[in-house]
Amino acid sequence: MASIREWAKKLPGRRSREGRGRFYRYSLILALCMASIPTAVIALSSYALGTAHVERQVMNSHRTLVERSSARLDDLFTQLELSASQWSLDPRLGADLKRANLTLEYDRTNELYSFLGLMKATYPRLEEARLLLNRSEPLLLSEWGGVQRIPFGEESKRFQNLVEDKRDMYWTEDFHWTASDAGSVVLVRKLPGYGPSYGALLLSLNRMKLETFVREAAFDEKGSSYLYAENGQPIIRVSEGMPEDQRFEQTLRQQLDDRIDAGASGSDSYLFKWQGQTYSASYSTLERSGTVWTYATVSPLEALTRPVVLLSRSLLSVSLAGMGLALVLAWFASRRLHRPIRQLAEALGEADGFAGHVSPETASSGKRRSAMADADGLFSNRVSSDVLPYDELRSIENSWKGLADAKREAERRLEQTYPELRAGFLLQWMQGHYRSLREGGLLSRLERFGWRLEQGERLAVFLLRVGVLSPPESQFREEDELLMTFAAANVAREFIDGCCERAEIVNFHDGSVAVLVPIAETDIGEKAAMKKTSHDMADTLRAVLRLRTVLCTGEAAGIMDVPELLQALRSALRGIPATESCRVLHLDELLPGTVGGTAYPFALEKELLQEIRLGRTDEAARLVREFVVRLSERTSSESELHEGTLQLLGSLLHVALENGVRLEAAGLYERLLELRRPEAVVDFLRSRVLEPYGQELEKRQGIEADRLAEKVRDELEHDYTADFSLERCAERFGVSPYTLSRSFKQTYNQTFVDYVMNLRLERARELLRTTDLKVNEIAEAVGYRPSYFIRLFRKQEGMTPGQYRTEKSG
Amino acid sequence: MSKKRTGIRALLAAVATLSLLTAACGSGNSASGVPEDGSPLPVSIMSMYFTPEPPGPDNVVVQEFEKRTNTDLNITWVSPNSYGDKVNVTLASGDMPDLMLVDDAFSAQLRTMVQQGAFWDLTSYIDDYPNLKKFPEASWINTKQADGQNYGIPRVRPVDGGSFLFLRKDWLDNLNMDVPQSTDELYETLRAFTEDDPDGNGQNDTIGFTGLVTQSNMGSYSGIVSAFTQSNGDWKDVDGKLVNVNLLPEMRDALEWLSNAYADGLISEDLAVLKESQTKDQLNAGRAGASQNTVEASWEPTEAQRKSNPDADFLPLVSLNGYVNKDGGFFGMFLIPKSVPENKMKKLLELMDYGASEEGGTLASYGLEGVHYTEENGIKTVTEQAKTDIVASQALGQIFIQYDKYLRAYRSGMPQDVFERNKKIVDEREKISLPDKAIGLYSETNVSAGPELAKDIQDIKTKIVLGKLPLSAWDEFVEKLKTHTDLQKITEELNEAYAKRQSAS
Repeated sequence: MASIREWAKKLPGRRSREGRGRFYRYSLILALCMASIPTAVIALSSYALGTAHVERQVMNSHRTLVERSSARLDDLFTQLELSASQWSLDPRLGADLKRANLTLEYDRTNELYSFLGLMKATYPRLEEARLLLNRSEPLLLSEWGGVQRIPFGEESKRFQNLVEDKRDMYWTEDFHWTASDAGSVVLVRKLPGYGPSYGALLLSLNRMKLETFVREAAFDEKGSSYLYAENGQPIIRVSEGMPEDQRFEQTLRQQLDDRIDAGASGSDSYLFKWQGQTYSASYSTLERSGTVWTYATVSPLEALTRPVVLLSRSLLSVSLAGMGLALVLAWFASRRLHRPIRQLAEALGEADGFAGHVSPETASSGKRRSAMADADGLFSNRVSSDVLPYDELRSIENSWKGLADAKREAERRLEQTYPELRAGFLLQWMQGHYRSLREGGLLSRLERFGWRLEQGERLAVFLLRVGVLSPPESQFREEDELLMTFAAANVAREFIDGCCERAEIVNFHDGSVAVLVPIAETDIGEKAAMKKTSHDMADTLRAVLRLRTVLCTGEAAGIMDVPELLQALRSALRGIPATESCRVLHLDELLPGTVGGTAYPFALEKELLQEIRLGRTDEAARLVREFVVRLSERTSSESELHEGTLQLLGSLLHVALENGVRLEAAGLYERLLELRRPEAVVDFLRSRVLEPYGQELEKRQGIEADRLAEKVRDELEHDYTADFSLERCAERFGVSPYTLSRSFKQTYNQTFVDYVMNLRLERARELLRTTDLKVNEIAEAVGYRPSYFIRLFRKQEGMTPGQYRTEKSG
Repeated sequence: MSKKRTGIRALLAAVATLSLLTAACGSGNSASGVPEDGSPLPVSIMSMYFTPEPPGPDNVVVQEFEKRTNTDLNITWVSPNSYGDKVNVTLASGDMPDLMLVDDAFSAQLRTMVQQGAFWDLTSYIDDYPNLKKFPEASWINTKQADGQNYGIPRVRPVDGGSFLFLRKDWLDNLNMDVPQSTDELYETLRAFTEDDPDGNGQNDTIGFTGLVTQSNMGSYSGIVSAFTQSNGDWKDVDGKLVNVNLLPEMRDALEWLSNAYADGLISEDLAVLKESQTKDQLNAGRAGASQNTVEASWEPTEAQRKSNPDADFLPLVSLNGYVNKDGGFFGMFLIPKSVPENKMKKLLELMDYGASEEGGTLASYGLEGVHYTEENGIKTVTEQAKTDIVASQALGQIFIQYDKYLRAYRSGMPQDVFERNKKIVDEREKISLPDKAIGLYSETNVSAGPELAKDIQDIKTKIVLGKLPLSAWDEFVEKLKTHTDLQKITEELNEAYAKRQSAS
């Protein structure tokens, strides 16, 4: 496996591996193995089985053939032996030849000549038939050479030895007619056929013709045939296409001798291996009179096994080629198969910024890290986790788990903060912070927090205030206001849950708690029930908490009226003397004139100040007018009006200061006191306070926005390929995304996102015009994924980048 | 195996059919047997070859010959070992080629067929072909058939330079002796060769003459015998009548000479059992001083001896007792069957005439100059390519022969001076040589009883030479022979034929 990985590293296209991980590699290897290994197995097994089978078959057939060939050879020699025996009995070779004078008895000599000639003619493979007469100077007769006298000495001795042999007939394999002659194979038949011998018939075989015969008897043109005498000397050696090495034959003969010595006479076949080549060797023994000859053939198996080897090789090469082809195909296929996985991995990587960015980084830096591991022990822990190769599926799984965890966490947090949010919202609402919202919007928001109000439903509001009683009775002290309120709220909740389904408790944390109960508009009985409920609640609180409990009930026509009602309730409660430990008031039972006890419209002022805070001066001006009108209506005296307007001015200046705008306050109060008419007061406040404030605010905000936009723009132009999401950028500059976006809008009259896009596209157009970079490379250079880039470009330019380039450069 | 065999059979059948068809077409083409459109004349020939392998149909020289003569030669080459049988079979079948070589120009079968008119009588045509006309007179005369007409073109051979004695000239020089001119001088020479240590090696290891007698004739000793009888062959013209030489007293002299030489050890001791190879061995080894063979063949032992003895020199004798033999001038002849149309027959003669020209003869025997031979000082040296292409006088040169009377003077490898000397010897012999009078004469009795008779006569002669019988035995034998009925009959028949031929020419 390691070697395959090594090998895989050398492959072209390896460089683009970043996008593909272990899963890709393993599936590729698997596809390769599935395609190629069966063929290779077939090739190897056919080689192993095929050659073995061929060798066995060849050995079998060779055994048969060598028997047949040796039978032919045996026939040849046996016939000659038989004929020699017959000829030896011929009267022409009678015992009287012993003393015949061949020169004078020329008729007889001529007869012998023709007899010897006849022998030669009978056996074409005879080189010569000779008649040896053993005398002190031996005579040798032949048809061709006439009568030859062998002079006394070494020569005559050799011939005399032939006759003096004990055997009547025998073969001599290496007889030299003259000292210089090459050795001949000679059949010696002593004469006469019976009685004391006077000489011998010498039948020498023509070696060339014998070789031809052996060659004909051989069954394989390529092979060698040998005929060995008993002493191991080769009688006949027909060697064609065999190694011209003496050792080859020596080794062969050695093995032959070993086998024959081991008693395996007759005939046999075996495999003979020499220098990496395999030969089929067969032998057969020929029992000649007085000696044993061995006939052996050797033929290379290569010729026979070659088709099998060829087939195996071609299969092997086919499998190799298949492996190559499979490599290419698997590469393509894997790419195709792998694409969805890669896209998924990338999508996930983008989604949580983990898999896509971190994994390749760690994968590529893994090696570097492991190299550093010895030097830097700090990394050792990380290395152990990082050395795992990048696996797409695993990373997808990790991403998925991460996402799921994040989701659960978010849900948990949301769940935790939900009641607080809800309480906060209700609190803000009741205090009139949402005055700017319409009724419908407010209703839907309430609904979102799980509190549904039907259209036309009225709201009954109980405002209860708790306070410390005289010490022996109360468990709380004055400082425990929060705790008291909390306890009161809890008790109220318990109580109200018992009788009303949709009641809400709002804790003001200042010792007062509001209870909201939706009631049907027309239901009169309900009102009575409400009253009873309020009394019971107050009593319960008083009894359970032993706190001073005052409670005021009121009814709001709609939710928009609730803040005002709350104010009214509060002022009603303030009217209750501190000595009463438990008191329940009903607002509609009080006289209108005494409501709140003051003419100052706090609710309006709150609304107005909110507008000021947001810098909406126009709205503020309207509210100022309303305020002044309301104030003038409620107040009876001029001094009261002045008091109210001065109060308002102070509040306005206070809020302006809070917002960082310092207005010139000198003389403002004095000027205001001089004004009598409400219109004049409105104009004065608008012109001297609201407008300067508005201008100053606008100026300051404009400068800041410009500065921020410029800074961001510099950054963008410097590195526009980085990830510039609005949030990230805002985070980097320490402002809210809203501020950033607005400042961009103000400064450049386009949104941040549009600005980044235009900047990148401008740069891309330039690159398309001026360089030969590929579209993909340009897309990456400007920080887009190619596919998105092309789509975006076409949408913006009405043509593809390629078309753009040809148009501009063409 | 059986499949293969059927395949071969089918092939053979197809070839046979095809050849029949083409043969039918060929004969149908023209009645004259000569293509009128100028396409090559198809000629079938049967001849023999002495090269190891016969030339094939694609042989370069055969093709060149065809081109020059505008013929299409279809030559059946037959080994000389079986040529006689092949001729007999072909003659008997009657399906004869256009030109057929017969090695025995006077076989009984041929005589019969000539009488039956199976062959063209060429006598009147030959005058028209100048190159054929250049053949020696003897060649034409000796091939005349019983009716005195020429039915064949002789396979011409030189008439002079034939088998006769040769001896060691260097030994003569060593012994200060002259070249012997008579049988007596020869006897003295051989005695010296045997006893006087002619090679000067101090050892008694030489004999005068080596040679064998066969069972039917005197073999290597025929030259010596003829020198006594002054007659070539067994028959001598005595006053216009042929007489058997064995009946003449000169034969007794010859036998006496030979038996003396044998007794003195001047000639081969085992001459009756000797083999040709043994005589050659003796000559080549420098053990014998003389033998008998053709003029150019004497170069063979000279060449062998010169390897160890540069002075060695075998000299062919011009004559002995003023006698030297003249050969028949032919070795068989080419016949044209009567089935060949006259026009074609003339074309065939034209072809043979071209073959007898210098250009044709050289091409047939030596091939192409520069490729198969180079020529210097009139001596042609054959190249290795000639052997490869089978270009030799022993092959196509057996059919197309330019007559060269010095053919027996030259053998390849022979130095110029020896060649020149041999030419002179041939010229000298031409002046005095005697032909065999009985060539081509037919005697029925000779055919039936002749061989046995010759064997009996030779047996007595051999025994006398070997000393097994006294010379007086020969006298008794001759007396008997004179009244031998077969011999008388043969004599009569031959004389009759002889007279007939004499009167015809």
